[in-house]
Amino acid sequence: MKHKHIDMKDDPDFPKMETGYSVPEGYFESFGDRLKLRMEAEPKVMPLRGVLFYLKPALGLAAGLAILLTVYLHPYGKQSLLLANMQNSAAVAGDDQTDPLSNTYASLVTDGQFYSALNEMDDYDASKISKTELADYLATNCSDFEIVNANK
Amino acid sequence: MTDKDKELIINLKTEGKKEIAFQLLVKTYQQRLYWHIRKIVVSHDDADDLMQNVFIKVWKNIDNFREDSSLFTWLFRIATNESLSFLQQKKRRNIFSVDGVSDYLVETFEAGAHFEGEELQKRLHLAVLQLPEKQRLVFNMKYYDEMKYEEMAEILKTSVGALKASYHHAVKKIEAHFEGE
Repeated sequence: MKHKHIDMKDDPDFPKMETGYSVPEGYFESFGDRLKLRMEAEPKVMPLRGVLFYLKPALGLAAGLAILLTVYLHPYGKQSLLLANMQNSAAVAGDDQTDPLSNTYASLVTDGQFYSALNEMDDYDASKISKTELADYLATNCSDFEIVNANK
Repeated sequence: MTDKDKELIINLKTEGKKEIAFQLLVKTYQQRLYWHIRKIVVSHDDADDLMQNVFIKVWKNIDNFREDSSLFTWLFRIATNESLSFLQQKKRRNIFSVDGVSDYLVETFEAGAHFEGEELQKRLHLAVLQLPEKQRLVFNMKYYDEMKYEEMAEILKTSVGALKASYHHAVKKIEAHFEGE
């Protein structure tokens, strides 16, 4: 098949002519099919945007770790981290004083133990408590202010 | 840009219509692109490979096409870059010497595969293939493809003045080549 140029005009400098190049018979007719076959055979490459979407959490984590390591390993960073640790220790100590249950009894009681204790209380008959026992309990465990307010 | 090309681009960027639009694009532009590539690399087999690469790039990058140039210009720019890169790669791999791109192209041409031209056509090719790369490219686009300088300037990203100068030098060299034969 010869390459035919349309509208060949005469050039004042140079006479026009065809290239003379040719292609195998039926080349252009079958090109689309061959291209399709090659595209199907091409390995599927995930677009960069897709890759970034999946890598974002991992990249974020890595960046976070890198920052932490930098701060920790940097000589000035170490000082500030030490200071921060001291402040945290103080804060934790303070918390302990204000919330004694945070790491004492409550944390040792499992849910099972708690519910079994409640069941035992259900078995307790309040009518069996005498007035004297109640007066003794209140006298030893509650202040007068609490008793007065509770009756209001 | 023609209305047909505009519609083609919209369809190429629309899921569900992309494949049919792509087939239409291939059918519309395959011949013009092939002959453009063929004149740069000379060999039919290389031109075939490169044209497939061009269309695969178009398929993968159509969403990035900003439409600040025509579809024709964009396709020709990809085809030109792909073809010139191919020759540069061959040069880097020392398949031929630094100044030997022309020698390689002449050898390929003289191997004679898929050339049915007459003696005068052959002589013209041999003269063109010995031009420096830019002049060869400009001569082919102007003389054989009859492209306007403005179109060529958009494809090659250079000025009209520079292209006119290149073409003028190319013609002079070809004339000198014929006179010296």
